[in-house]
Amino acid sequence: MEKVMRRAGEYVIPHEAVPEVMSRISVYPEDKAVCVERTEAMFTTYWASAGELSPFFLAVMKEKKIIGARCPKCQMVICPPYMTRCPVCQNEDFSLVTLESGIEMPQVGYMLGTPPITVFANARFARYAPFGRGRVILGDSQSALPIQVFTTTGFLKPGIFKAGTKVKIIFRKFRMGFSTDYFAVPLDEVPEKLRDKNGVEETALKWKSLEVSEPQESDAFKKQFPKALQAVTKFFGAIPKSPRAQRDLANWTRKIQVKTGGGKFGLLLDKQRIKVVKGKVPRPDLVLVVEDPAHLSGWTNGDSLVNLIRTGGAGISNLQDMETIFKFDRLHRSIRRDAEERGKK
Amino acid sequence: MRKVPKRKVAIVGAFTTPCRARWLSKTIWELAQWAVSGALQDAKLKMDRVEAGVIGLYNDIFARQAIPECAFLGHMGLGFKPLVRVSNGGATGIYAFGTGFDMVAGGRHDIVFCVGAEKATDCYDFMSETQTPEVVQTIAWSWDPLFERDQGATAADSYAEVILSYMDQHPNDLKMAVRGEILRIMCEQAKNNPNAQRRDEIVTPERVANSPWIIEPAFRKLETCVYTEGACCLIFAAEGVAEEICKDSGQPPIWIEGVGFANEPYWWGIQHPHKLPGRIESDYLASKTAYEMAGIGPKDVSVVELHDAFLPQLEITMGEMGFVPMGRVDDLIEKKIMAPHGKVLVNPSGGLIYGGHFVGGSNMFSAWSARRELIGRGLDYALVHGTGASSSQYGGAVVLKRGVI
Repeated sequence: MEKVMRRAGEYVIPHEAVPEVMSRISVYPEDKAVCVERTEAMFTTYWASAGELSPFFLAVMKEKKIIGARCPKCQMVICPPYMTRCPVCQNEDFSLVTLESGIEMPQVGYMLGTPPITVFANARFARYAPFGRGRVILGDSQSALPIQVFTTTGFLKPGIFKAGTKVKIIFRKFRMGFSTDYFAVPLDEVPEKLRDKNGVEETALKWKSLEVSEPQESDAFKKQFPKALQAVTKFFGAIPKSPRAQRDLANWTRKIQVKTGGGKFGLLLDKQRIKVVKGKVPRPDLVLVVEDPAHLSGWTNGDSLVNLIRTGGAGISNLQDMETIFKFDRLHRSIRRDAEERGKK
Repeated sequence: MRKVPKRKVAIVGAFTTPCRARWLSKTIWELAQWAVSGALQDAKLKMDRVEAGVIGLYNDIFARQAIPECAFLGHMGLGFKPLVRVSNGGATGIYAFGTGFDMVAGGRHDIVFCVGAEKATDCYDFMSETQTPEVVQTIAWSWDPLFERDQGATAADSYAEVILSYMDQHPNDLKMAVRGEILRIMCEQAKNNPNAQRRDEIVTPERVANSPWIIEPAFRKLETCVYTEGACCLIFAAEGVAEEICKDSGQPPIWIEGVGFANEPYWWGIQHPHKLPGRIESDYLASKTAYEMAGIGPKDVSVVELHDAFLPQLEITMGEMGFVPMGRVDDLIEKKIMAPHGKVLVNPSGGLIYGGHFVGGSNMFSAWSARRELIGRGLDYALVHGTGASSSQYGGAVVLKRGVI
């Protein structure tokens, strides 16, 4: 047995995802019933074998190769080599034909379809967001290799990858036998001298920083700023009247610095309320840059901050904290629905 | 070749619980028992006449128990009788329906109930302090553990792959204005469903267009189905028995005239035997089989209750099931196919987006609604559809016909 590889400090179940043994007594407003809730978990841990699929992962780990399989009878090629027999062809004794294994595939291919981009990853994948996940056809393969797709140019936006986009397989520096050991980038983002080279590692590419830049100040933005600040203050002032909005913010605490081209202010999120403070916030947890203050007014009317970030109209200092932005985007609908219900009564 | 069952089967009773985002005051056992009780009451039928049961339970993680069906048997008065659990992804409900149908049509039982139940939102993510990420994660365990799951596959992005690949092939279809209008109609229809989860909501095409993208340009937030807790029960009876039960209950039998199923392969590719981009062939094949068995076509169908996990998928499925041409599924609105602009009533329950989506029983909920509409409006044929699995590879379709007492 070879030595065990490990990602030091990373756990299969993140420590912060594991609740303490707790219980609480809850009364749900719709039922008026008193109920006991307890923390529970269903978990099973594994040393999971890749079995007959191990050669694929070993080729990735040790040789930075992608391998497929081919049916000697119908010539069907599949990558990944997800089975060892052709499901269509049979031998004379009626058994299924065994595939030829270990077929080395080219490392340039094309996207089978436009890959979806995940911005709201669940908590365990937040560190990758935003990421795309699609399928790439390599060489003569009739099946598509599921793969994560990234851009070297910053925030992954729609349009970078489409059906037919030529892509290059890139390998992680540290490979442990997972399907995240490899990913794809657009071929035209790969320096020409590396395009025909196999086994290119992520460190060979130049990755644009995702850091947010300071907003550009202007007189027009300064003129709009007071109106935007007023709209934001009024919007957050509606939270105490909205049980849904309060639920959106439950157990969430953040100090947020908002910077615009017309001025800055802070948002102190605590105890299901958001307090707006003028000027600079010391040691913020998150910085939100929205150059045009009018976008903030639009957001209080139902526009999406997430969309603004995705289209480059805003930026945040920590992409792994998109959950906070997601919560902010929920508020408008929550406040509106509670207001509509109050109106009916 | 047209395949017909050994004997006819009818729905003679049905009941669904109200759909809620969370039933804090009820366990899944209570929800299922409530649905069974309601369906027996609807059919005016004694429990001891029920010979067997089918239960649709989507996954063990939501139920917080491996082989969770074991606890239901006694609750539902089926002790010492057969109960089959069906689990087939998002299509669990329609496959459970098919299993119940087979049990009666094959001659093994005269009266069978088919119940589906779900509790999803006990799941809770202690990192984000919300339920949704853990519910989504639970569904994400559906992907293969070697090639896809580690890459962050989710229910939303896999259906988005289907929709985006359709858009690759038909870039001028699935227009946002059409999607908004269909959502407005379904939201309006949900107000007539006393059990709908979002019956108080007001959705306009403008609100749809302004809601945040979940996955651009596949779908926005207001185009996605909801997580629901609830249960639904249908009672099936064989020809000869069904008429007698219906005479007592005063409600017409709803005959199950056609049943069809098809599953596409898990792996995507450029030709068969792989799943192909831009298509939901399972929906096409399932509906084709159901139509052939019933001896009808889409032109004969007045009500469609369709598994709308995401709105653009509803449109594609309507194309696959023959109501509009593939590549021109916006004809639903633009050519006035869908009521109230046209004749076909689509998702009068509000669908899974506005009515509710308790996975184990959603398709039974759809059948409950289709039966309600056939009887209430005096219509002849309805089509009930279910889909599921990681990239909508599982398809099921059922043709229902209103009978007479």
